[in-house]
Amino acid sequence: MSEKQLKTVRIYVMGKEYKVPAGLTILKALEYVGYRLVRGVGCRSGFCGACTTVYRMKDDYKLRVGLACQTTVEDGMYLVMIPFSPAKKPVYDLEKLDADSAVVLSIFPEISRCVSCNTCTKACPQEIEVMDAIQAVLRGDLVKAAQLSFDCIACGACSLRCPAEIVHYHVFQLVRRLYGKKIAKRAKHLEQRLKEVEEGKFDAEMEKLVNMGVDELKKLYAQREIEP
Amino acid sequence: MLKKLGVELVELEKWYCCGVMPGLADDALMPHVSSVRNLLQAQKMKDEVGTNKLVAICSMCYNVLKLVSARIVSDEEKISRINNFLEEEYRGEIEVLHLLDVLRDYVGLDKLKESVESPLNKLKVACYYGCALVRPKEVAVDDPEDPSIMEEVVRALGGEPVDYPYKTECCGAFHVIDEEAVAAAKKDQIKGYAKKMGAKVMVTVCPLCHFNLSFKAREEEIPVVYLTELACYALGLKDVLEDGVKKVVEGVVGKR
Repeated sequence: MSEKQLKTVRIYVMGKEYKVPAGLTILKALEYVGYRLVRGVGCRSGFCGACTTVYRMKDDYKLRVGLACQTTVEDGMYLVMIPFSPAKKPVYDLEKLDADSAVVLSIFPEISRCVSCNTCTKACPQEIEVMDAIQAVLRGDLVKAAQLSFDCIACGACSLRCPAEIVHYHVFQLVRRLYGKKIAKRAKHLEQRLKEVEEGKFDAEMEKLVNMGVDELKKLYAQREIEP
Repeated sequence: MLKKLGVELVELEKWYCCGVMPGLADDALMPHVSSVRNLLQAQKMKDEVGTNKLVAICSMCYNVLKLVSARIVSDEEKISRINNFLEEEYRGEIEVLHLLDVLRDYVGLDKLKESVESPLNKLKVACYYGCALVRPKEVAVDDPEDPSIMEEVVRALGGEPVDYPYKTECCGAFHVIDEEAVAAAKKDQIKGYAKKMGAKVMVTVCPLCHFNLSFKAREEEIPVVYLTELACYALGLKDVLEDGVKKVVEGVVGKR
């Protein structure tokens, strides 16, 4: 770090003020001020949905939601991490279910309590049209619901905010499973490749890799084909 | 059917549940949010589509959307509160219609009659309105005490409506779920009397009424179809009907 004055911002973690370097993510800022995060942190790359954080800006009524690993700190941010969202997680046998919204409703009857308030959508850090996806299920359009909810990382913010107590991300997971298993066209090339794997087409190549020395492996890795 | 009659329907780009049960408490606004959201969608498409009319085919959706228009949108304080919550502005620009309004006021019964290709041959039809089309009176498609719009449509199609006293009785509504006997008793009362008056078939426009009036129907009961299904048959569009419905309609028209 240079001798120059470091630009800092003030954040408030559960009400306590800290000065932290500008430009840090919330996650890094928390660690900077001394928090050791055990729960509520996962991939640190915006994919796992573990580090849901709610915050308000000073003098603003809006409650905002962000992933701590993706959102940078701003001056006057009042925040708290929500390391876990309690939610009913039903067990079902996908093999026995039809791709029908009546099935989704029978497992998650509370989705019929949706009053279209859209609070879920406002809470989504992935900018998913959460309410539209729930309404699509109610309309019987599972394809639409699966498509709309594709980017869901199950952070749980929608479900913590929902006045109808819907657990959107589990609903969406079921919908996408039904879509993938029963609605989407089978990927022929995948079936072909799986067959090849099972028939042992790649066994020799794999064996070679497993037995390769570290240096040789590194060299091979550096030379790998990368999409432009 | 409407296409044949010269009316083009455009589906809302986004639409939501109407809310189903409008809040009756004066200060409960949350149950009306979803209706206003639908009206907003229609308002957004108004210029592009060139109409301020939103047509509902289901009686309940019609009832709720129209009730919200009448009681909430016309109340400045209430609609501004909902608008503030939605962070959008619904300006009350949309007129809610039921399909029956469209047939009567925009297609016209004369034109409907002229368009008939397979008249119903004086088929005796009991028209069933239920609640949502006619109550409360501020949303009624017709005279709430003695509506006749469905009968007029049936007549235009070449059928013969029968008079019976229970056409605006409740079908039992959601009691079918937890008090099945209540819904069954209503069904027997309504359909039993219609049959006594000579009806061969009962028509409705409401999915819930249709469900209750057909639920666990016995052999001797008269069949229930949507008015639109009967209309499609008469207008020469029987191929758009589902096989089961087509069979029922052809059966009753053939039998007379």
